[in-house]
Amino acid sequence: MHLKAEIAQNPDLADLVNINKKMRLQYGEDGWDFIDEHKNNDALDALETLLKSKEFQHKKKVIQRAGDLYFKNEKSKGVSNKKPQLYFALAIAAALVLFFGILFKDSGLTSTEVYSNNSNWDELPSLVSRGETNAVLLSKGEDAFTNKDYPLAEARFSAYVDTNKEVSITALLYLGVSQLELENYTSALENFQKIIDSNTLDHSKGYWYKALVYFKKGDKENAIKTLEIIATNPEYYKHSKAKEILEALQ
Amino acid sequence: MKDQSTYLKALLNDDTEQILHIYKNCFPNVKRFIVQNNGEQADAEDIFQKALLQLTVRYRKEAFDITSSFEAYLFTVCKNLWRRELNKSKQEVTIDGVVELKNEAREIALSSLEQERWEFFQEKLELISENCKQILDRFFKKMAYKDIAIELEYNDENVVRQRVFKCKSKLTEIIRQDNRFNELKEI
Repeated sequence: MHLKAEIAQNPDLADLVNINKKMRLQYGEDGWDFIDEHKNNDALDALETLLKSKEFQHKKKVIQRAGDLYFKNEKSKGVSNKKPQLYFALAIAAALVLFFGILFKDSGLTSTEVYSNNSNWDELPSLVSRGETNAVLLSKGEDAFTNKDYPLAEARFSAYVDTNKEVSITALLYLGVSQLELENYTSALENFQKIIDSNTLDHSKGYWYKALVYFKKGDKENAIKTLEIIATNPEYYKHSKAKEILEALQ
Repeated sequence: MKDQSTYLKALLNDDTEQILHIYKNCFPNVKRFIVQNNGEQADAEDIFQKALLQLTVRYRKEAFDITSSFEAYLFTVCKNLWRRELNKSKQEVTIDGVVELKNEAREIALSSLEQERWEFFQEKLELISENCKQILDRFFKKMAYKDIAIELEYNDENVVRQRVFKCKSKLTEIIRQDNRFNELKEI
């Protein structure tokens, strides 16, 4: 009681006691320094009003939507990681077959080595906007691709390819590579085939990327067949590289 | 690393794509922290969303700079929000006697001002000597004087006691000298 009375009469002492109390809460690890919301507080009221405004209700929805997208993606990753035990057993068996196959039959490069040595996406042409109608989709797709967000990149390039009448080799390349990174091999092969069938100067790029799909899949036989097509046509994209790999694989 | 204000601006401009990046870059650490501290995934999701709203409203009110990385800053905000959450039940019972249901907007407004006040105190702590910081850090974490003496190689606990007193006085003086303290102490 004595101290309380003294504090009441001495504002300086009251200040010191107050700071000491606050320091314990602010710098300690246990409690939390709550604001007394029953006191008049204009700053608090202003923030509350802003948070209740239409503008902020919209912002809240945008944040929630981004969160939903993120958690949905995470969940699907989680599901794909939880394959049944049988798949694990099959995967191990396949790995062993591949391992011994490589050990006894191959003195050269493995599919994985060829893939990792050649999957250099910096070589993909830049998607600088040239005033196309859906240029935003392209540039946003490229952003997602650069950030290695392949699901988003795939969605954007796929939307671009679907809505454009003219075939864009570059968009198809980015789309196919995004699918390759996502291990969606069938779609990747389909899109690279579209490049081959495109009758453009760049059509031979389709063979090179198809070969990379096969290497990543571990399908060495088809990979070699595809590289042989490149090797027999000197004007084809990555002609020398294909010959080099074929030699190394022998 | 992105410019610290990139993400703050993204929050203000409703940029879903960048906000998605914030989740990707920052949520795993926040979740790990909350789960290790008596929380669950759902708590982590709730805290993370509240933290983003808190940053948005504060930045909308007045643009501010972050001196660390955005990731580190957001993590601290989430840590404080979780600390607040864990202490909330005590607070509600102590002050009101009954648990009072507050709306979410008021909760976020309260936590925003509390975070600003917390940052004010941290900023002041940075202004004292390194030696004082080391001693006070241990003192406020309730480490015994004798243990501080051993850890920081002082002769005995009386020396530590004197150093704590001096350092606390210095810190108090720095806090009181700042005009913002007069505003903060009222709330």
